Amino acid sequence: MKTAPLPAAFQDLQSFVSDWALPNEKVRYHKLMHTELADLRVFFDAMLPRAGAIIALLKPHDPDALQGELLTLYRLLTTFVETAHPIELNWKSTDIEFKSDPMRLQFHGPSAAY
Amino acid sequence: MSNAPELAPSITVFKGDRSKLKSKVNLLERIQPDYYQSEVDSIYRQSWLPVTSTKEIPEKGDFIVVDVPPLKASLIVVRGQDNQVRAFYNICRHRANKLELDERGNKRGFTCPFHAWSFNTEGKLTGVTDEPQFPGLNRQEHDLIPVHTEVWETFVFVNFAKAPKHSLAQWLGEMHGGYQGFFDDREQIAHWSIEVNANWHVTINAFTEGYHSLFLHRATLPDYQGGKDNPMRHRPYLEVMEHHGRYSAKANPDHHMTPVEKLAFDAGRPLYPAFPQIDTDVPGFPASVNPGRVNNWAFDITELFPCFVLINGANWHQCMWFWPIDENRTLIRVIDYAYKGQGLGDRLAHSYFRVRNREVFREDISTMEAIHASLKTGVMSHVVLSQQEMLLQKHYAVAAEMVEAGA
Repeated sequence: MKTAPLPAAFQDLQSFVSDWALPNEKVRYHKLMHTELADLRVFFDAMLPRAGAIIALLKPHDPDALQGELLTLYRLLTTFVETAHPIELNWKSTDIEFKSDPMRLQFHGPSAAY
Repeated sequence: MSNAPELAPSITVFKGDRSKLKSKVNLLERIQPDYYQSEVDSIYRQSWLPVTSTKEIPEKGDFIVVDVPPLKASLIVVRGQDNQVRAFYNICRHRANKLELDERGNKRGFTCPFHAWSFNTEGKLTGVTDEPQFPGLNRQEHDLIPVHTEVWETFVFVNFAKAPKHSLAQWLGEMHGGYQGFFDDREQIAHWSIEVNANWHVTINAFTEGYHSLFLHRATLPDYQGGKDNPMRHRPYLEVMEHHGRYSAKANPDHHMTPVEKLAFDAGRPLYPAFPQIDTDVPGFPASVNPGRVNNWAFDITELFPCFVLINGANWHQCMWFWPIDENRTLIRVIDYAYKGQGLGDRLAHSYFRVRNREVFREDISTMEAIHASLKTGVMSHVVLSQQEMLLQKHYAVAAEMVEAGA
């Protein structure tokens, strides 16, 4: 299914949609594992000042019933929330320091659904 | 007069009989194949094992297929038309084919794909195709093979013994009446699994002490516990019971919320790693939630022997299974639950919680294969455990006792 563009008020974030408007935890995790910290920081820095306005717009809506441009916006916001920690915790990369092969982790149920 | 050694000073309030606990434990013997097989027979065939949640099968006819690797068993856990929850081996009684291939669903019965023998949700053999070709067949002798099943709170437990030595209530001991609906109003928000090349003891041991959190989790959880009054993050309360053990963790009152953590927890109701200010006695908290009634409580960790860990905060809980596959491999499954979301804000709070929690879990996994590989060299047989690692001492004491008692 084609991803709808963002609402007009958030056109400044449109360039992030193809990489970061992701549908579930599993996909967001895999994206994080394949992203350089510098690139994540660009997304984080663009989203942080806009997140309050996005939440205000989306809050009246049921997250499971969103469609079209609001669904795209919701996915961008959720990806931001689920990928912020390496920046906020001052990590040296997008992955944890003590790790085994990150691709071995399997995602099920809600972690593969939203 | 107790034989337990004197305790070193700490803030920890210890409860329970410590007389059989040992601070030195031989792990090398436990990773040997013969010893492992004795554990399967003496521990896994004798213990009550939680396998799923009643929330997975709320309606009559709902079923879920769960694997129990140490017993090499696939089970169908089903809510019958009589509303009772039962577990059966997932084996057709005709030629032993795997009966149900779907992971979950709702059915009035189960039909084997091989020759279409069918069974109802209470396990009765209800249909044999071309039955006249089985002269003398007695249907009653070919019902599904049941496993002892009991429900406690939202958890479905099974027991593989022919005649369990304990009822589930006896097995759970003082925890049995301790939660009183605490897990009811929750939804599943995360579910991960991973197979690791490490013995099951090594894997569960990573989650039942807080000593490591200051070090291994320094980058993921820099300040959620501890603080200036408790710099080494000692447990405020630690209890060993007949089979199980539990402790509570204290929140750091000076925890600094990051901007996105604050954003998520302002939008929805706060979850780990932010903890609501919990005072000594919260009205409505059942006895096993914050059992020591500690101030500034963060969460409890309970090991349900042998291979299940329950972590519960005020409005979330985490179920962790450490299923042995053999003496060298373990399947770890984690399911997170939180309060039922009421819109976008709660969904964001759930999202933030599950990701912080996932990264901490992945750090815990990182030590397991290294420990197991080190043990395999054979040069170091014993590990040494502090009194803050007393739940590990208890785990090994119960395991040893059951192996000595035999099947």
